[in-house]
Amino acid sequence: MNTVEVKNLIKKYGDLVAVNNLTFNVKEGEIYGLLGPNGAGKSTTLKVLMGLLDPESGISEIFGINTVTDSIEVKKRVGYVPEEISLYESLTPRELFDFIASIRQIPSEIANRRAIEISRALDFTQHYDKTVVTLSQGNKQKTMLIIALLHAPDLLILDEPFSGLDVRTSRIMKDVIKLHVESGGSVLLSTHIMEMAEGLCDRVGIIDEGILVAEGTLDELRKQAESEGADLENLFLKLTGEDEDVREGVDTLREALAN
Amino acid sequence: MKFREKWRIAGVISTEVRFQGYLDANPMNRSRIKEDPEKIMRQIKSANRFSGGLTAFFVTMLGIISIAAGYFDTEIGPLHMRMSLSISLFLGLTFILIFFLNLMATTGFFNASTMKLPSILPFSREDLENLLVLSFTRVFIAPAIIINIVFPLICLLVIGPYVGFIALVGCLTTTSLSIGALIKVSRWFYIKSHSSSESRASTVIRIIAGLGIVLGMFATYSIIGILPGLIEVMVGISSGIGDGAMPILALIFPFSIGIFSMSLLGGFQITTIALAGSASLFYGLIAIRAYRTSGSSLRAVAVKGVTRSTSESKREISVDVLNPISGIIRKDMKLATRNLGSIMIIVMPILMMFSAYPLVALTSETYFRSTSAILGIAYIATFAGLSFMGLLGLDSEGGSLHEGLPITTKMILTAKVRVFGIQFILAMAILVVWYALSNPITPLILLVPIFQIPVLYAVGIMIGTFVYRVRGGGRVVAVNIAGDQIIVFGAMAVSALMNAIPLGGYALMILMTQSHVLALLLQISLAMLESILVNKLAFKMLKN
Repeated sequence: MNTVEVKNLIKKYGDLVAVNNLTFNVKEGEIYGLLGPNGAGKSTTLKVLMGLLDPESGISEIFGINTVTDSIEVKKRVGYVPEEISLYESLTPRELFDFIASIRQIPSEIANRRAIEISRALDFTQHYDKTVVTLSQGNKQKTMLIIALLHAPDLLILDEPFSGLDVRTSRIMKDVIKLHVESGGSVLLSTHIMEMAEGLCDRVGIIDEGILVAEGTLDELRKQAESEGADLENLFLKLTGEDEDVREGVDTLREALAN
Repeated sequence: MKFREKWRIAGVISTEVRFQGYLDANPMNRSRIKEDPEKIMRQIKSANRFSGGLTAFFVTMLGIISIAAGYFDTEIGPLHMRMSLSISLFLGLTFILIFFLNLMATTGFFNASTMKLPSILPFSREDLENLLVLSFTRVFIAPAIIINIVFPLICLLVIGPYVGFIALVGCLTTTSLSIGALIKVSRWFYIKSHSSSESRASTVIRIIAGLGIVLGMFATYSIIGILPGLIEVMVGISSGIGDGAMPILALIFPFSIGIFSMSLLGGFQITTIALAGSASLFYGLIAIRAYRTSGSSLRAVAVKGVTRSTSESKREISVDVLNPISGIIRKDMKLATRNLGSIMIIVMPILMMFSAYPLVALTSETYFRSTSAILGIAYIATFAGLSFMGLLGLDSEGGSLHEGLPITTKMILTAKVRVFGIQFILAMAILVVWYALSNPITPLILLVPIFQIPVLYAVGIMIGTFVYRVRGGGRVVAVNIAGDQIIVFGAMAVSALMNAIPLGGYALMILMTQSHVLALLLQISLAMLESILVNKLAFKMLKN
């Protein structure tokens, strides 16, 4: 059984089709990257998978559980880090972790052990009793990551996990993802940082305007794009048809700067 | 740097202070600022103007009423006694007025970001410190000027130049004392309200502190109405005690400058004059000290910021696991007690007693009848709907957590209803005491608020269902009380309707049978039936 199964998924916002007949799956122990330009429908897809949005039609399942009809069961098995982090600013991470562990009913002993180990690993212990409002963006991201990992989920869903992070925190995030998979978990992430996707993901799906334009390993994508030796960035631009636009844009800019 | 330039920059900082105070007043404001920043800025400006106008109005009214009550009410003791107590009371009330009206704005001063921008600009440390003191002055300049002009002017015109001058000194002393107290208390409240201490005692302290402050604000607004009566009581007590009363009062009442000012016009014994003079000097010295320490307190904030308990960082990493509903309640209580705006939400049903009192009193003459009882409950219970909305609004910040957590809608609403239950039961308990003291026509009337208690479940769940259906399509959503007027009125209507059913049943039965027992039985039956039905049906309209 696949960890994530999405079939013919359609999600509209009024007249706008955000996700258009999307089909992909994430296998057990796999890191799957959902790539696409801004507004391609990546976050919408992840929100449908978390049961936060109702699709117009199609199937969306996690571990065989329908995410539309049984989102609570899905959330019990998933660790989710949304793109825009909105935490209770006047609480401290300690108070947030107390809240999360209580909701998830993690036994005290296990919750304690995990909180200590993850906080040490992320070099977060000194921030434990500071109010969230005083934390930097990176530390807020770490807080969210600890929250997502506290119940040892089978699947991590990360929406743009690397945006706004410094080099050190990016590296930590990358290592956490690898460790999660090494210990038997799966990861579904969305990103537009091509280097990250290239170095991290086993397979990627490229979506543009809600449509899956290509899917596979890096080699498979090269074959699809008929671009031997190309890196993911160039493949992405070619497969989404944006390479020509980029070239034109750069030419215009060159001209503007020369005058 | 020229003073004019400093004054201008201080204006920018004081605007930021007001802005931070506004954000700090309610967590929902932080989300709203992103939605429509220009609208919020306009609201802050108009709120400041309103606050300034309100202070001016209150001070002027307070001054006129104090002097009028002392000067014209010739039936209660001699003029010098009446006037000395009037002036002293005015000074005392002014102290409370400045303190409470400006408390929210002052907490903004202790926000670290207030001095962020000036501190990266090329200012010397001394300039930076001066800027903060000037900024603080600018926040209070309007009420301070009004207090120090209006009342001495009234005294000058009514009594004469000598009393007018002493009143001016008294007002200056009071202004300094209240600003000094304001800085100390708001700094303390800021630290307490942002403390992350886990102890229950700490939460209790925050609630008590907040409750005291919020109730103080309402008491301040209500005091003008009872001022003449208060003067009458004080003069009565002083006359009753005899010659010894005024010297004692001059010594123990912190605003005895009023007694001193009138004592020199004659009528008092030499001991009273001496004691009032010494006490006034003493309070004057405290005021000077308060002025000096206010400056250094502010300078400390500018340079070092507000430091909180150092022991907090040394605590061991641990996770305290409760059951999910208790976990939500604990989180809500922490959020609710960390700012004055949220505390206001928690105590709203109790605060409504202040505005319900005249309305209910108007309908009860010799005896307190069931009509008045129903009116009081309906009024307070309708506004309790707002309080429940406030509890729902506490989740406006934690969207990221809720998106990933297996929290059912029922779980959230149950947790909120439990907190709401405490507020509702407390409000009904106060009503019972109030009704008991109001000469009820039958003791059975005291049961009306008690038999209304089961309805709280239906009120909470139905407001939640209404809000989640209308604004979240059935899913959990946080709604801003200040920004979404339609939903606020809707919630109040739901609350009114839920409360009206059992109260209406009670009223109808009384009209038909004249029997309080039957009416009460119908009331509690309807209240329970309503809650059972809501529990059965409401959650079917919601999604997880």
